[in-house]
Formats: sequence, C-alpha cells, structure tokens
Amino acid sequence: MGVKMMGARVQRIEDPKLLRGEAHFVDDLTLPGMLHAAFVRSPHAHARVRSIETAAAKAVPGVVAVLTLADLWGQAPKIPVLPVVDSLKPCLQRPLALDRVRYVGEAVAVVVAIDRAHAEDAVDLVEVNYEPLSPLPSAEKAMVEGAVRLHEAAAGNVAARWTHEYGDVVGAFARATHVVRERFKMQRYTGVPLETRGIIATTEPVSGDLTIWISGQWPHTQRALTAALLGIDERQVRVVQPEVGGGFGVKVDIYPEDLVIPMVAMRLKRPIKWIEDRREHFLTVVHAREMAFDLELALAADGQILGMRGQIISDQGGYLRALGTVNASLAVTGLPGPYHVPSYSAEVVCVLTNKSPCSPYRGAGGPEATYARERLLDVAAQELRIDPAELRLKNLIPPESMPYDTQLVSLEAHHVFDSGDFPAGLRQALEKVDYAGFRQRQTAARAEGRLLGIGLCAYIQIAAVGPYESAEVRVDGAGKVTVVSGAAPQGQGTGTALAQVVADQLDVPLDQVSVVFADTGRIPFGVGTYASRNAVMAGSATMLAAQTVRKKATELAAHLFEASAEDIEWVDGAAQLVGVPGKSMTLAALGKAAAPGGSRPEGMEAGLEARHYFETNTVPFAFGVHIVQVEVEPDTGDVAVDRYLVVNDCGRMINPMIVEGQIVGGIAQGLGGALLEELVYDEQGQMLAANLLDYQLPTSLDLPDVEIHHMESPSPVNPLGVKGVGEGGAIAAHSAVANAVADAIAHTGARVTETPLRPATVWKLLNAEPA
Amino acid sequence: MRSVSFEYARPATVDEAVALLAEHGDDAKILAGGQSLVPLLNFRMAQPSHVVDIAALTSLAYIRPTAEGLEIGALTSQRAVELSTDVERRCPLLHEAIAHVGHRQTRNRGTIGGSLVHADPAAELPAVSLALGAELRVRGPDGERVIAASDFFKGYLATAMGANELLLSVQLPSWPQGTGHCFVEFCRRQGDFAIVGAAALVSLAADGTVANVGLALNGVAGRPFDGTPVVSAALLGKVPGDAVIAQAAASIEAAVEPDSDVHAPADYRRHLAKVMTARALAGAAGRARSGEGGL
Amino acid sequence: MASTHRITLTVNGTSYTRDVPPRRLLSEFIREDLGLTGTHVGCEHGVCGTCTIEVEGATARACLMFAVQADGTSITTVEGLACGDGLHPIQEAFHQEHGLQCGFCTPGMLLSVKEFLSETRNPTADEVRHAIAGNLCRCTGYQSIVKAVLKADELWER
Repeated sequence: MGVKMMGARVQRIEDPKLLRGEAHFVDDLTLPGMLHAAFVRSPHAHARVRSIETAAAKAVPGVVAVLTLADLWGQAPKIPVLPVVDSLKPCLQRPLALDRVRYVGEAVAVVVAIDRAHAEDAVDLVEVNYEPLSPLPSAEKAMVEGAVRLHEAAAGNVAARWTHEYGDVVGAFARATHVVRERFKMQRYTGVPLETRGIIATTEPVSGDLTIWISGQWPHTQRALTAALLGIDERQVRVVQPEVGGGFGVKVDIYPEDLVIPMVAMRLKRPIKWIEDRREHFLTVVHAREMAFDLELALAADGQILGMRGQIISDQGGYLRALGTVNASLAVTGLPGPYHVPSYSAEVVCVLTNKSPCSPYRGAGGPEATYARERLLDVAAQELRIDPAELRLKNLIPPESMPYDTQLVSLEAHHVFDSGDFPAGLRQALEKVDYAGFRQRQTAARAEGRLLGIGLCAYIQIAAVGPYESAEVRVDGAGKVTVVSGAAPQGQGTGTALAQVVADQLDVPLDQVSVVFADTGRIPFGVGTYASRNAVMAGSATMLAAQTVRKKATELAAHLFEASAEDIEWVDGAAQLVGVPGKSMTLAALGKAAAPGGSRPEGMEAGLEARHYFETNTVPFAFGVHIVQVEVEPDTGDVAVDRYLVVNDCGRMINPMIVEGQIVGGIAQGLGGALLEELVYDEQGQMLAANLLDYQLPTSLDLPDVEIHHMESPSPVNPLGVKGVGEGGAIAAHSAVANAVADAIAHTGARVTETPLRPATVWKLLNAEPA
Repeated sequence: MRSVSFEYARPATVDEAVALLAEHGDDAKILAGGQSLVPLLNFRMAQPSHVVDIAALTSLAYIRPTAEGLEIGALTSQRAVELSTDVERRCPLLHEAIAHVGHRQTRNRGTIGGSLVHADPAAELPAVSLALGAELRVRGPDGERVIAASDFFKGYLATAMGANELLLSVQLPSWPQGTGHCFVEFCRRQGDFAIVGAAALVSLAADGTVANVGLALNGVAGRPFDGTPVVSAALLGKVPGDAVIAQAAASIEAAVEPDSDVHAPADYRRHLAKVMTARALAGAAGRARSGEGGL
Repeated sequence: MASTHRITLTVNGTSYTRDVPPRRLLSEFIREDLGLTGTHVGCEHGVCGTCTIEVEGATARACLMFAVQADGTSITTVEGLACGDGLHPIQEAFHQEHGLQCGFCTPGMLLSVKEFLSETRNPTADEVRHAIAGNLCRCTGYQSIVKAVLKADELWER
C-alpha cells in the first residue's frame, strides 16, 4: 500500500470550508418562504396551565400563527424513553404542555412569524393563565413524604430505581479492617455548545415529504422517532444534519421542539425555522451530572479493596426523555472503574424535580462515578495513611486479567475491559509528573504558607456503543472515492479519520476521498455520533466496506485480465497482473469498468461499491490517568491549575492530532465542572445562571497546556484496534482537579465533597470551624 | 433574543440629543458604545420606544489635561483611554483599571461615559471615579450641572441623572504630586465583572505619614462603595505599614454590607473587601513611597 | 411599527445599501440581509465573542451593534480574510495546528487573532492566551488555538 495513513497527523479535510466561513450550520440555511418560530415558555417551575389566550398575539403584524398543543394535535404523542428499565414509571413529555408545566422554560405554545423579532413580540402578548404549584427544587425535597407528585405514576417522585450487585458484599464489609464512608455531590451542569439547538422543517410541495435540518447527533433515530410520533410514514421523512457547532451529547434527544416545528411545517405548508437562543438553551437544553453519592469502601489492612457499596440519587428534572436513564446506568456501573472490586452493591435512584430533564452529556454518568470513586479513594488513603498513588497501584486491575469481566451490564453494554495495562499507565504518569518530587515541594511550600496540591484520577470509559454503524464506499469512473457514513459528527474530524482509513485500504491519496455524513436520504440505516463511537463503529464499518471494494476491484481486474485473483497485485494504487507490468488498471478504470453494462465475473453486482454494517454490542474500553497540580490562594480561595499531565490509552489511533484535540477539549469541560460551571436553581425552581456571565465557561486562561503521553493497547474487539476517546477528558478532569484541590487543603482538615470548587467555596472550606 | 421595536435617531449636536431626551424622557435610552445597553435590549430587560444614538457627537470624545487634572469626554472609547499617555501620566489609577474592563473587543467600542451611566456596581470605572473624587458634568433641558461622584451612583443600574439628561464629561482631579495609586480586582475569569475590586490612592507627607487617601470598592453593594471616610479615619496621620493597613482593611470589612448572589455569598464578599482593600492600599502606599506615584 | 432607515456600508470591500428597521442587529444584517453567514452568533449578549468582526479596523461584537449604527462604516468579516480560493496565513496556521474542531467559534476567533497579531510580533503563549480570553471555544480547550496563533505569527508577513 501507499503512505500509511493510520496513525498519521493529517491535517483535517473539514478545515478549509470552516475557516473560510463557508460551511453551513442550521441557522445559515434559508428556504424561500421560510417563517420563524419562537416559543412561549413557562416562567414557573411547576404550575397548572388553566388557559392560553392567543388573540392579542395573533394580531401582531407579521405573525402568521399562534398554536397550542390542542391546535396541533388531537391526541398528542409523548416522547418515549428508549433504554427502558423494569422499574421505570411513565413520566413522559408532550411536545407542548397540555395542562401542567414542570420546569421553567417548558414550552406552552409556539408563535410563527415573518422573523424572529416579530415572533418574540407576539410571544410577549400570549396570555397564559398559570396556577402555580409547589416547586420541587431538589431531589431531597422531592423524596420527602407527602411531597407533591410530579407524575401520577411516580410515587415519591422516583421515576426508576435499580441495583447492581455481585460478590459477597456483606461478607467483605464484615471482615474488612477499614470501612471508609463518605457522601459526595456533583452539581448540575451541561455541555453548552457554542451553537445552540436549531431545526428547520419543510414539506415538499409535490410529494408532501418532510425534510428536517437539525443541529443534532443521530439523524436516523431522529427520523424514525419523528415519523412514529407524528404518525407519518418513515419513508416520507428525511433528516439532514448540516455542520453542527458542538454537540457533546446534549443534542442527542428528541426534544419537544423537534416535534412541534415539523408539525407546524406540515400544518402551514411553509418552511419553519427555529433557532434556540442562549437563554432558552440554559433553561431547556438537557442538563446532566447532578448526582449525590453515599459510598462505602471496605478495605483490608494493606489497602486492598474488598468491596464497595452505596447509593446514588440522580436528579433527573421534570421528565424522563429519550435517553433519560443512561446517566444513571453508566454511573451505577461505573463506580468500580479500572479497579479490582471483588464485591459490589449499588442502587441508583432517578428522582424527578422541577428542572430541565437530564440526559447524556460527555461521559454520561462516567464523570460522576469517577469523581465519587476517586475522591473516596483519596479519603481512604488519608484515613489509612497510605499514599493515594500507592493505594491505586495496589488495586488497579493488572494486565494479565484482560479481558476483565466486571460482571456489570449497563444499558449500553456488558462491561468487559478488552485490553490495557492500567498499573503501567499510572506508573508512567507518576514518573513523568515527578510525583515524588512534587510531594517534597508541597511540604516545603506548606511551611511557607503556600497551598500546593496534586490530584490523581485513573479512569476507564466505555469507548463505543452498538448496535451497529453503516458505511458505504463507492469508487466512480474518475477514481474518486465517496464514503457515506451513518455517523453524524459535530466537529470531531471524523471525515478526516474515515478518509485516512479508506486511503489506506484503497491506496488512494487523501484528497481523492470525500466523506458524507448525517443524511438519512443518503444511507438507509445509521446510528449517529455520541458515546465516543465514531472511530470504533464508523471506522470499522468504513474499513470493512473499503476492504470489500478492494476485493471486488481485485476480482474485477482478475476477470478482465482473464486471470485469477491471486495473480493480481496492487502497485501504486493500480491493479496489476503479476509479472506483466503492461497489464494494469487504475482504480478509476476499474470504477468505470464496473458500471452496469460492462463485463463482470458471474454473480458480481454492478458498481465498484460496497455497503457494510458493522454490527456489535461488544465494545472496547479506553483507559487513562490524569494528574493535576494546583495552587490554592488562601486569601481568596482561588485555584490556579499549574500543570496537567495525561497518560491516555485509546488503542490504536487513526489520527493522534485529532485524539489530542479531543482529550484537551474534554479536559476543559471537566475542569469547568470542577471549578466553574453550575446550573443554579433557587428554592422556587428559578434558574439563576441562564446567561454566559453567570454560567462560567472556561476561557483560554483557565487551563495550562496539557502534556499528553500515549499508550496503545490495541482493542481485540474491532478490526481497526481502536477505542473511542471523545469523553475521556471530561470524565477524568473533573475528578483530577477536584482531587488536586482537596489535596492542597486536606492538611487543614478540610474535606472536599462538593463541586464546583469556586473561590468562595474553597475559602469557606479553609475557614470552616473544625468539625 | 431580539429587542422590542424602537425608533432610532442619531442627533448631530448635543442640543439635539438633549431635545430628544426632553421629548421622550423615560421612554428613551442613550446609545453610546452599546456594550452595556444592547444586551439589555436583546434580553428585553429594557424596552425603550426611542433610542438616541450619540455616536455623531464627536465633540464629546476627547481627553484633555486641565489645570485641575484631566477631563474626559463621555463618548471617549475605553480603548482611547487605555492608549492615552495623558491618562497614564495624569491619572494612573484609571490607566491601571481600564485594562480590567471587559475585553479588547468591548473596549474598542465601549465608552467611559457609558460605563459610568450604566452604573453596574461590579464595574470598575464607577469605583475609580469615586475613589478619585471625580465630578460628572451633565446637561439637561434646564442647562448643565456638575454631580460629584459621591452623589452620582444611587443604586443598581441607577444614577442621579434624570431621564432627560446627557452625560457630557467626567473631570478627574489631580492628586498631590507623588500620590501612589493601585487598582486590584478579584474575578474568576479575566474580563468578568469583579467579584470585588478596590481602587486606592495614597499621598504621603514628608514624614511618611498618610496625608490623603481615597478608596472605593466595586462588587460589595448595589453601587460602588465609598471607603474613603472609613480608611481616612484609620490611616490619616499614620505611617501606612502592614499593621495599619490591616486595620484599615478590617474596618472596611466591617463597614460593607454585600448581598449574596450566584457568584459569591455575602460573607465571602465581605472577606474579599478586606483582602482587596489591603492589597490596594499596600500597593498605593508602596508606589507613593518609591516615588512611582504620578500627579 | 418603527420606520426603516437606509444604510450604506462596505463589507469586505463591497458596498451595500439596504433599508433596515432600527432593531435589526448588525449580526443579523450581515448574515441575513447580506447572506454572509460566516459570522456566527453564540449568545446575543456580547460574552462569547463568536460574532466578532472588524468595524473601521477595530474588532467589535456584531451582536452588540445595530445595523443602523454601521451606516457609513467599513466592515471586515471572515469571508474577507482569504484572497481568492486560498487561505489567509492565519487560517493556514489554524489548519496546520488543528486550531478548530466544530468551527463555530472560528470566524470570530480569527478576527480577534488578526487584530492581536497586527499589533504584536513574537508573542509569548501567555500573551496569546490573554489576547483570546474574550473568545470562548467549547471544543478545543484552547491549546491548539494558542499553537495556531504562534504559527500564524511566523507565517503572516506583515
């Protein structure tokens, strides 16, 4: 083959259009006759909707329609929960509120006008008669005996609860020398991509077919559910994703607006555009991360873990939507992490509250569980007077145990760790960061009143999810290769990665490959981009499709040369008859020859193309160690992150440059969670952080350069040997940074159990009365 | 997020602008740089029927040394203030503070007058004007008047100006030769509004004791906090060593009454008031001693 | 209904005359009236920096200006950076150093970087981080953007 693309730091094919401002995001699209929508949203966290008066709004010049649920549906659909658990109670959301609202911002009516400004003028004039009800601003309040029930079927406001367990937990805790118990809380925060949500829907005048452009992450599922919930034939629905300005999981859902806008388009027979504004985004995008952990660790005298048990309370918001159970599932199965935990019992409880519904955000339960576990390990290390690195080394799963069956089955997969050397990863990180040297500096600094801290996090992430991904690879008569993928990236550079895979398989230059994503009209089946799945699922599907194309080209060349396939060798991208240099056909020539009407071997379909579905639910797991050094300023509680080091193992890498970008980007988000970001609700369920000044995203000054060291333990469960990497940074950083701050102040007796560690919070911890 | 509909005028003269304000009063808003006003309009937190764009009143954009100190026209961009050597020499406190105001992109268009009139209690320039003892000149239909900074800031986004008055300029008085200045601010991210900031001026007598002091804080109340009386009592006539400054800072901590909000609880703001005051006073005193002080 | 105002302005060297209502934001005007959708909108309250453009040679947040304010001005947007079909050296540097992922913040970032590099030679990484602190990025974690700016300093002859 030609230049090896696998593992190469290739510049991205996506870049030029994006850099020139020529790429199209959903708000960049305009259709003739397009109207603009705006939503009337509840100002109350919890209320009955008594009536909706729309006459004044309808009279606003430029307004075309003002519609409520009853105007659009006789029998309104409810958005289903897709991964179902036995204990799940129905607490489903309709596209617009029927008679009750359950979070500030929940949509009650939609206005359609000639532009957004006029639509908002009309929104201000819609009179909704609310009867406010007691809000449930927290899971604790929601679970109190006698609290108002948000959904009839969910007693105690528990939407679901289930337990995972294995081994003899009772016995482990009985014979343990040490039992360490602590409660941890992670705050509510979410992805906040720079591009808010957006959707355009239009019907085609002749066929009536519905086309939807959406800033999303799973177009085929979007199509299937939209069709099912709107009661139309799936064949009549096409979903296309243009460029998406960041997704991070929060655009994987069927949102209420995703059903209203197409319905309005079908009703008015006009294209309808809705672009979420930033305030709406904070109020109504799916939220995540808010979990409370009550955990216990049973340890032998030397620090070996004998068992773990506990309970997780997950604050789910006012409804469970399509993926509402996933965060809870990955949290309760993620607690043991990369450690050997011989016995385990944990229950997760999904509690309904008057907040925006929760759903996966980068890590989806992984960051939460990792944070609680890694904090607990540090607490255990402190109580046992063992160094936290030593405690981890003692308990990390050794490489000879691979493949390691955790005995835990989440809603995404049976968690079997396929490959990796976790202790070596931690050792490498400790050595590179000069852990021992830091401890000396820390002691010296303390004598001067300076608070330095170092935080460790060893984590594992589920690095893809099934059930399949699709790829179609076609070579045309000019030798150009088109890849059509069911993946739906939002900036991950997957086009470049897939082009690299194809370039290797077909021995073509990269610039001869173009990649098409995220269009249900181009490929019939697909799953989408979330759960770090692109490299594994889309990559493997593409590789196998390309291999089939290569095989086909070989067989066609053999047929045309009247030889057998074994007599064909590929030289510089052309199929050559062995020993006869004059008998050679380029890929372009073969593409042409494969067209219908040409000569092909018996049974070979026309077209130099292949479609492949890579079907599996056996997924790889990626591993990493993050080590963070911080300094805490005692006078202000300010935290400076001085150094950040990563050892990362995501199996074979297609493009290390892209891998590193994913790691650093994820780290910024996890760090934001540890130090800055929080979706704050007050006791009335009002959101206090609904703009970018009050919700603090990390800036360029909030994190240092990240030093990344790669380990590659190829995955045996997919043909590329790759593992996903997208979520790792976000999973580990929250934990590593929190541990670093905790380490900086632990000697004062302060214990870190909650985040974000804003300056005021750290200062309070430093100045709290000793317990 | 789109503003409500409004009528727009761009008067060519100050008189025209004032006449428009007289006509529309509470229903009109002045648009200068727009960095503070436009977000309010986009959020529909302000819904004026008329917006009076004063960009054409170029006579209000100037930086002019005067016998008393420095006069800056209300329409002067924050970027111009940042680059001005007159400001650097004659009002180094303002020079130090201006770099903390927003970001380069907002300083390019934001005006000094806009920030003062917007009167966000966490903003830097109101506190600086208070510490300096600045005077603000406004014009209304009844003529011009001068309002001392200590009378100007009334509360959250509220000033002593009437709805029909236009800010013309701010006079920044010179402090005695050798006065030390210091502006410090604590915020979580650069460019944020401060959680707490402090602007300090310290002049020393020949014997090294404090002859004159000015202190104002942003972020501790609904309006910039005038700390001058409290620290005067603690510092005047004394050598500003660590202990004396610490006492002054402790007095400030006791004097401020901040509220809690999503960014910081009240007790923490109170504590930061002490910390920032101490740093600002120490910085100013240090500069006064070392002769780095300006005019 | 408010009256409209006729404005004339130059964008990327081309003159445009349009009638606009006063409340039309400059960001909206550039994107929808002129069809130059390279300038993106991230927050509409002037914090994220995504909509950064150049007005009269100085960076400005397009979501914090009304189109009527831009009457008589000269504006540069991301579409005005590159010459012909190629890439401006700053864009080329971002391409080489993986300075973008989803690309949504990129146009605003490029304009901020252009202003910074117009005034600064041989910046340190720390100076670069300060210069871009007013432009939020949610994908990259900024490290590759800093590298891109340092590379742009080398590539851009100015």
